[in-house]
Amino acid sequence: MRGYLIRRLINTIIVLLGVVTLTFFLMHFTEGDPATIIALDKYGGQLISPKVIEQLASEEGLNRPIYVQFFNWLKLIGKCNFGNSLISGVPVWDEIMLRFPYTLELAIISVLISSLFGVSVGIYSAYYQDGWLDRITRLLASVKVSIPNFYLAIICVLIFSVKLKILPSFGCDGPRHFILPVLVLVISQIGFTIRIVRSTVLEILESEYVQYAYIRGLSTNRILFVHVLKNALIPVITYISLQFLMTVEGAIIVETIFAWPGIGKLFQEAILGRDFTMIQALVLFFAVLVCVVNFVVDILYLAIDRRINFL
Amino acid sequence: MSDLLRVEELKVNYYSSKGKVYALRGVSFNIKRGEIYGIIGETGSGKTTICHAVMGFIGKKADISGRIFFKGRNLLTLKEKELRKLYCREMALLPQSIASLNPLMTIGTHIEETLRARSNIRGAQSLKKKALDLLMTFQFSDPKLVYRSFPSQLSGGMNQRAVMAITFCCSPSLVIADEPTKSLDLGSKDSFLETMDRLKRERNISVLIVTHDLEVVEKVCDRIAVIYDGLFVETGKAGDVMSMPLHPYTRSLIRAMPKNGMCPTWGFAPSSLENNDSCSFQPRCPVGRRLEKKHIVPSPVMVGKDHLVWCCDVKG
Amino acid sequence: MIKKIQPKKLIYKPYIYFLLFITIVSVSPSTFSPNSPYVTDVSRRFEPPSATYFFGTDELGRCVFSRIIYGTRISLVTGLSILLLSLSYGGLLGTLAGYYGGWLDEVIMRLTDTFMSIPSSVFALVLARALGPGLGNVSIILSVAMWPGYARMIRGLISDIKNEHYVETAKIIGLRSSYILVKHILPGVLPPILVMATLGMGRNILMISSLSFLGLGIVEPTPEWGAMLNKGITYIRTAPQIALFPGLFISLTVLSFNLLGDQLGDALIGNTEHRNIFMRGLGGSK
Repeated sequence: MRGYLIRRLINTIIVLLGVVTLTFFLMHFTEGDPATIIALDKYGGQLISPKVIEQLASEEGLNRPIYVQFFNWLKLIGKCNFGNSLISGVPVWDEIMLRFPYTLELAIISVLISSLFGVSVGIYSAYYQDGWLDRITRLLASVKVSIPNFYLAIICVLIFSVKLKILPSFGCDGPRHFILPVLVLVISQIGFTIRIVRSTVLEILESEYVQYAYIRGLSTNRILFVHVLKNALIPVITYISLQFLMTVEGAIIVETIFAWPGIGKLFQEAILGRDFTMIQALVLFFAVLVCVVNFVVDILYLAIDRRINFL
Repeated sequence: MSDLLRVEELKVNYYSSKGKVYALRGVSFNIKRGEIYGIIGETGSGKTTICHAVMGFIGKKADISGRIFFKGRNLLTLKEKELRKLYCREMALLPQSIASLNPLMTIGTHIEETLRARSNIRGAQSLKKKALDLLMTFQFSDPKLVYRSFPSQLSGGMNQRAVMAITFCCSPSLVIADEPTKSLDLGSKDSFLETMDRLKRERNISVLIVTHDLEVVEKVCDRIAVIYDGLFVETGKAGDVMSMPLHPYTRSLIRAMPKNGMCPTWGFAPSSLENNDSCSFQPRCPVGRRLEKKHIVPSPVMVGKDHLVWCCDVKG
Repeated sequence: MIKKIQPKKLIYKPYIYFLLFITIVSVSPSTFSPNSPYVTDVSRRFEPPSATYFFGTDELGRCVFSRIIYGTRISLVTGLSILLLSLSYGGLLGTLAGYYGGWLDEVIMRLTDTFMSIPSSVFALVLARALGPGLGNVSIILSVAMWPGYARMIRGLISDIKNEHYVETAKIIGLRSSYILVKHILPGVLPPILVMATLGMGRNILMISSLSFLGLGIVEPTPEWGAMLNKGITYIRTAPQIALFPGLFISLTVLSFNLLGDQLGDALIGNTEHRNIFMRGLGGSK
């Protein structure tokens, strides 16, 4: 068991290092000269001259060779100092920490709902294959996966806010404000979950141990919810973690539409406003989130598949 | 002694892309308590279909007619719920391969869940004790270790014994084994047969063994039936049939055994797409081959006590 | 394996017709659009659907229907170019990783892991900001965001096929690697790639519209569906037609590709094993 954990940890660390490097070079080679950007921001267009830029560059240490800048940055990150936002002047780390919980709320609720629904519908859909439930859900699932989430959001806003006037279309002041964003997130994700759970469960249902369980006269519930679920759990947990990450990704658009103050909206603002430091920090944040979630899933595997203990 | 299982005129047809397949064309036999009954035939002869029919696995896509009496009740008239109540408690199917074990569950869990579902034993302690006792009966040298182990940690032979233990845990009256020795090496095969024999003697369990391995038949069966193309061609006590085979097909099977020289049987296996009165073995029969017209299969002829044969060449 | 597709069955599926329709439309949009997509007529803004303007007009008085028609070409062509590009990088790296294995495999896999840690939208947005708008840039951007997924799937496919007996036998006989690749591995790999490509078209179109929706990628007045949604959302209460119809077309197109991909998948990959590879490709490096 320890060997497994250590291997996964090393893997995660390698990927994290790679991500940090990638982010740094990505930002530097795409955003153009950071010094110019910062200067533009600080002083406005008219006051810029090469001299000003150079002075700024030496102040911020931006004229040193790339690898030196890289290591400086690494040192700063180590201390959780990501610089200040070019838009608001506030330390980036604080801003992210302030707004992440909002996104987390949305993501957790959406993932919980769509997992619960998705997994149960998927299991029943597979068990009663080709029944009316199966056919309807398969068709709906395909449709749900195809509709872009912003379109879905627009339609929801149209129906609930404009025509029916029962739900607010932006803001986050109360429980009612949750409904539409969560609805959009859930609908766009649940199709994916249902399809994958269904096909995993279908495969398992055809396996010999399920047939043997039936032959032994075990109850349908026991077969479905113990034998099948146990074996399905490993792939399903992978998909749920993927779903969580896709939800965070989808939140970028959904938060923008519904003016929800999470990091999705923060990211979009940063992009539009060319907030270099914020963008860099957020990209890193997203990537680290992905790595952490993957690692957590690795640990969860241990709990489910006790065989790994002996690997 | 009344029969445990009595099958009368069982006929099963499947529908395949090539048409109607006559898997069983009218088969009758009975099994008494504490008896091991063997059905021998080649692939496609219909022996697996018999197992499925008795267990009630023939789906709605097939035609099934006849009567299957188990302890007096006709299984074919039972609803699925009623049938399932019998599984493992009265009738049990011994699976062929050890893939029947859930790789994520220990042997102990397998046994306990079956006990919980099929017997009256409750309580973690009693369940565990019963499971360990069961494992000891099946000659595991370290029952506690096997109880905690996953299938992947045990050898093939041990898994096979584990599957047997699970199947027998509620002492069913009838066990149906479909080609149980197919994937076993010689050592495991011998120990399997020994266990079968012991269970018969100690617990009065009846076993229906379906196989193509005549060694199994020789060593462990009380009565046997030889099936060819969906019909029985010879039935009787194992000793009688093996020492004095009357039907040409039975003779060819015995000749084909390794210890008898492994002579192959001439000709091709029959296609099961036709159902008529003529003898399906005729094209391959040393006697029938030379005859010009098609033989009609005669009524069974009784030769000696309990030895039936369906062959035109044999007189009573 | 291609023989398994029964052309007869396809005739009954409506999505085929939709796809044919938009392909034909994209080839010659001018034949199908009643009005010009670019001509503005401020006196006729926000008109609801009518005989002249099938889907009404937008905020600048342009015919929404015509803009959607012209948009088909943009979506399909851009989607296709993204597909080709990402399949090239992904395919090349995936094949190298899958076929040669060993440290090359490890390195390439860590590389894809790293790239995949950054969600594709995030990646795309950053690049879009940097490279600026325009269709060509969008193709490049999205192909860079999408390649790791393909690389991983192709690597899985190839390494599984490589372990099949017939390939091992070919090696033992002494056939050249390139020959083995072309004659033995490629036919096994092509059907899943075909399915991936079809589903990928759907995903690409979604991503193109998402980018345009967020304001990056497509320049006005190019009639891209996502961009139209972007404008449309501001006027949702007064003139919903500006947003509704483009969105509808996006959904229908993606849906058609998805359904086609599913159908192809069922027909070509009856084998459950390969379906597993699909699924595995979506997950992490487990």
